[in-house]
Amino acid sequence: MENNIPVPTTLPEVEHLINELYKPNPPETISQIQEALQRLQKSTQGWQLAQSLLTRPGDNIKFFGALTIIVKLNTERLSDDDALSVLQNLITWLVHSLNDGSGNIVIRKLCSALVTYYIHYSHTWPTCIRHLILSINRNAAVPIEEVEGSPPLEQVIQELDTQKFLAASWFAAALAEDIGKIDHRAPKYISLHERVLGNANDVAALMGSALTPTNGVTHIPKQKEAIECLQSWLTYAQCAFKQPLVQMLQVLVQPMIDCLSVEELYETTVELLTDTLSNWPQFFTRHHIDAFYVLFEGEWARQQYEDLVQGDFDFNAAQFALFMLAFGNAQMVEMMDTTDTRAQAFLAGLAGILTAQGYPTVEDKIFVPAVEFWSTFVENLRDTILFESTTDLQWDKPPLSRIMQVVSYSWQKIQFPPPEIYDSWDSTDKTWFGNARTDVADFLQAVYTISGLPLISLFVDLTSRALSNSAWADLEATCFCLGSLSDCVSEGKSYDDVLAKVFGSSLFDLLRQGQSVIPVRTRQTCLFLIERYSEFFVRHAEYLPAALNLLFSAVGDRHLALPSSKSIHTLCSSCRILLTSEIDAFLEHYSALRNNAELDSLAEERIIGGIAAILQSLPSEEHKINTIQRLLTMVGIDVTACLQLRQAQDSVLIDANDPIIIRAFDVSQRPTSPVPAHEVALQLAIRALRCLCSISRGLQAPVDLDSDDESSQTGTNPELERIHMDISGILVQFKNLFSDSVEVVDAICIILRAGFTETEPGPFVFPPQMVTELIVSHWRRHVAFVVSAASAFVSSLNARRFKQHVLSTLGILLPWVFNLLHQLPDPEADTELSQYGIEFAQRVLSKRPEVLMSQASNVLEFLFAFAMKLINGNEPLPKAAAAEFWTTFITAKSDDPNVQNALNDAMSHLGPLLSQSLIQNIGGRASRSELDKLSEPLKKLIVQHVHASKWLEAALNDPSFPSDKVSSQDKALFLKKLISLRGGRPTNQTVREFWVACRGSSFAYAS
Amino acid sequence: MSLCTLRLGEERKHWRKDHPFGFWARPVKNAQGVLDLKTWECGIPGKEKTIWEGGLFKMTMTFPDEYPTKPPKCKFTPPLFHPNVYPSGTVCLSILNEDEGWRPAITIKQIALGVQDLLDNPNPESPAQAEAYNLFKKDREEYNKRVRREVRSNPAT
Repeated sequence: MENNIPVPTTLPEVEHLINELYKPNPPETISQIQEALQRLQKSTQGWQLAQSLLTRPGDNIKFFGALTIIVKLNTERLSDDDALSVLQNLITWLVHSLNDGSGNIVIRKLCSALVTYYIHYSHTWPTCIRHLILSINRNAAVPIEEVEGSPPLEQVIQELDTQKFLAASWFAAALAEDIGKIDHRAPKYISLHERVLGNANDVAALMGSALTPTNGVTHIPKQKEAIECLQSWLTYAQCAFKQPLVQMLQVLVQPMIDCLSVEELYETTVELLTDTLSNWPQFFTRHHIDAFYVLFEGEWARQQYEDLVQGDFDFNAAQFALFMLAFGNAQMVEMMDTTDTRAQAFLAGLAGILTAQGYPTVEDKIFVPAVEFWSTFVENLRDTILFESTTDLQWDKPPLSRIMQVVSYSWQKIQFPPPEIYDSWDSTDKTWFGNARTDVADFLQAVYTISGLPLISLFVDLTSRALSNSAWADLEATCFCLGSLSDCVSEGKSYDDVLAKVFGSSLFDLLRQGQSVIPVRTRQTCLFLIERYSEFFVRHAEYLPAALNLLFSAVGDRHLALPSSKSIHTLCSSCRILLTSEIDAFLEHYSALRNNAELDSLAEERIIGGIAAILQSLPSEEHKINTIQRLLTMVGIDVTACLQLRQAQDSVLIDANDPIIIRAFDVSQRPTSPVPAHEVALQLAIRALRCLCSISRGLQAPVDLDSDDESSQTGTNPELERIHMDISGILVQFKNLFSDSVEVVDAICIILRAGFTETEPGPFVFPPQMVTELIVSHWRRHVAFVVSAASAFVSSLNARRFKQHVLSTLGILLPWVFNLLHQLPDPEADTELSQYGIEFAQRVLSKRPEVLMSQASNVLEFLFAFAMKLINGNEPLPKAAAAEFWTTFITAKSDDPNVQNALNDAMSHLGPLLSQSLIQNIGGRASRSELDKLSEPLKKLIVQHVHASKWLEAALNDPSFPSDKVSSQDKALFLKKLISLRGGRPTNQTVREFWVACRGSSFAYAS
Repeated sequence: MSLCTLRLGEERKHWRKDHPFGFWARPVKNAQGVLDLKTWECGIPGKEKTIWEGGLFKMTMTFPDEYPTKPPKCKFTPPLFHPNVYPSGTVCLSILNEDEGWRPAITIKQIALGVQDLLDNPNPESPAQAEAYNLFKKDREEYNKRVRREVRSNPAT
């Protein structure tokens, strides 16, 4: 941007510009003014300009003058004599400003300028505080030598009026702040920090005079300023950690504590004490700690505490609570000592904070910090117990009894308010409230590690009590707490006996009576409890039917459909073997739910998946077949409805109130105006397919089952064949009609894939011919997904019982894939197809190199050229797939000498080209995130091929090498390094460094 | 105590004192109930006014012994549909890459916020899964649909 403002030449011009700088002007004008003024500041006339400005009226003008001095001091080196005259001037201006009514911004800026002076010339001004105080007291810059023999500092300070005292305090505070930013360890500044320490006594005297006035007359503004100054010095002292300084500051703690009860000083003081207790507890001595106890036991603190517990969460009360918590944290060890009565009394107060009136976070702002304190307390206690291995803690004695009191307070606190209050909160309030509940869950888990079973018993008893009292908010909270402990509970009879009190109670019966009896939130939490304890139900099948009946009854409720269906899925999946005898009841439940049109699609998928999991465990093959047929019949209803709608004319519309619409669209997506029949058909197809996906996944054998024996069942089962035909019939029809839709294609592929990994025959384990036929049939769009499924299919054939089909299948799939790739106008025209196509080739190459290498030579040439183009291309995923293809190719081996010869021939032909591609990429073409992938073929090349070095060298020195930022020596060194690393892991780092060098952002390679 | 556990203890303190809205994160507990500071579980909420709003996605952070010299590994469980999440669930994000943006000063809070930001601002330069990446690039409508399904399956409440 061009600067239109010339550097001013006269003082009035400068003043005008300064005044403009502080007026509301467009940002570009302001930055132009700033630039003009800065040029002036930096020029040789800067000093003179500052002097003139500081004698002119106007705060902005004077401020700018002081700023100019700071700029000059920071950028120019003066002789000591010149420096001292600057100091004299600065003090003189400060004295004037204190007397001529200048604003605080001027005085503060002059104090900053004095600190800047001190940083650069501390040796000329060792007793800066004393000298400055003396000077402002005398209204003149006194000669530095006069500091010696001046009256006692305390006396001089007493004589300062408020404004002068404030100025001295500002200087002292700025001194600590600015010096604190300077590295303590840098040798250059060691003497500076030492000189600062030499002034600490004077600073302490200054602050002490305000905090403990000798004549007993307090002066609020001075005290306030002194506390703020003390804050700066505490921060400095914490970093510097020089014992004499710390001791001087420690003297001021008691006066600070005394300030707490002065209303105007409370805020500043309590914050400073809280921060110091939190960040630097070691600062306080035993004597201070005792003083804190005296404070907390006194009348003033009692009043604060009472206000707090009664629900007064104004700033002061909340701050007081944080102060208590900081003290408790700082005195953690004492708090854990049950023989220390004073600490125990204080701890009781910290427990009591949790009884404050008001909803956590929304009203009660200190609930969360208090729970955090107690979590820390419990964790510390547990570590101590573990360390001392004292396990004889007694439940009804401190500290456990105290912790149980806190448990009891906190579960009551996290109860939900009545709906009308909860609904009036905004989403932020609701989320914070939820977070507070999570914090309590966290706390309970910590308590469990000390208490074990009794904590579970406590909540079980509370749940029973809530049930018998019909106290639904209590019930919700106890179930929440019990649920949060589910991960901690280990298997064991004692635990199960306790839990049985809840799961065998009237709870489930009550919950089934619906919303009229128990509010929805409580029901939700109770259902969540069932899911959390699904392991319990695996061990206790006797409680399963009641639990599942309850869950099924809840699915129809819109608010409960998702959580209850999730629980159904979890329970069915983990208790599948126990539930096989109930499979018919499940089908009936499901059928009834389907008839209730409002069944949510995600809930349905979970339920049907759960049923399929039970089905998978049915012992009798016949029963299995029979059941799957029943399930398929139900899915078939949607299929039939879908096909009928699809046959309708394009123009046919379905009314928004038609029941089929309710089936086709979930509530959130339901249309309000008529919908084309074709659209409804598509939605029904997706729903039916997604149900099939769930069934196919549910039918997969659980991973932990022993499945390493290859199935010997090769005989065919006509019933199973029929099912295969039925399912494949649905898939084919939907593919023919809807393969424009990515969701449809995706779902069909998921269904196909579900059978690939199975070792036993099953409804979704289709014969290879059937899969192959479907794969290579016509797809309207999204054929890339199908190619990806084909890769998985080929891999599964190699591993599983269909091994004998590999050759015939590849004989069909390979040409199909190559043909698809061949049809692409260029490899990046359909990146998904390219990626999955090359992945397919890579898998074949890795498992059956002889099959790939036996393809016609023109096919192979095409494939290699294609893979070469991808690795040279810009599309990250196909490029990564191509890198993997080449890695596999370089390492491909065959026992058949003919195949091995073919591989060798191909490699000697392709090696130089591949080297060229890799080097082009590494030389700067690739993006940084691709380098690791590209390093793989490079490493293999170096390990596997004698000519690699030669090929790479040629590629590096080729005129087409993309970077001119590296010399031929750099290239030679790079190659040497690569070769010497022999394909090891550090190659990646070397490649990255070379790439950086070629890109030219920094040349860090030569090392 | 090692530098790694010291730092993680500090991180835990900081997180407790100040964590971003709607997030949760805590070290897991082992069978004896003792905290394993090197493995954290956390919940990353979708940002308001984005298609991810309303979702809360569970992620595990695993800290190597060399932490904080080396970054933690972040993995969504179950794996998340997102262009920069590997099929295994591992998050691909420059600040989590030792060779790229990782600095030892980066806090757990910054990581959590970084991952949340990534949800609605995928980085098309470093795709990690083909499915989400390709839909994101070619069929935004379908991509959004899939994201909404993820949100429905992982609700915040």
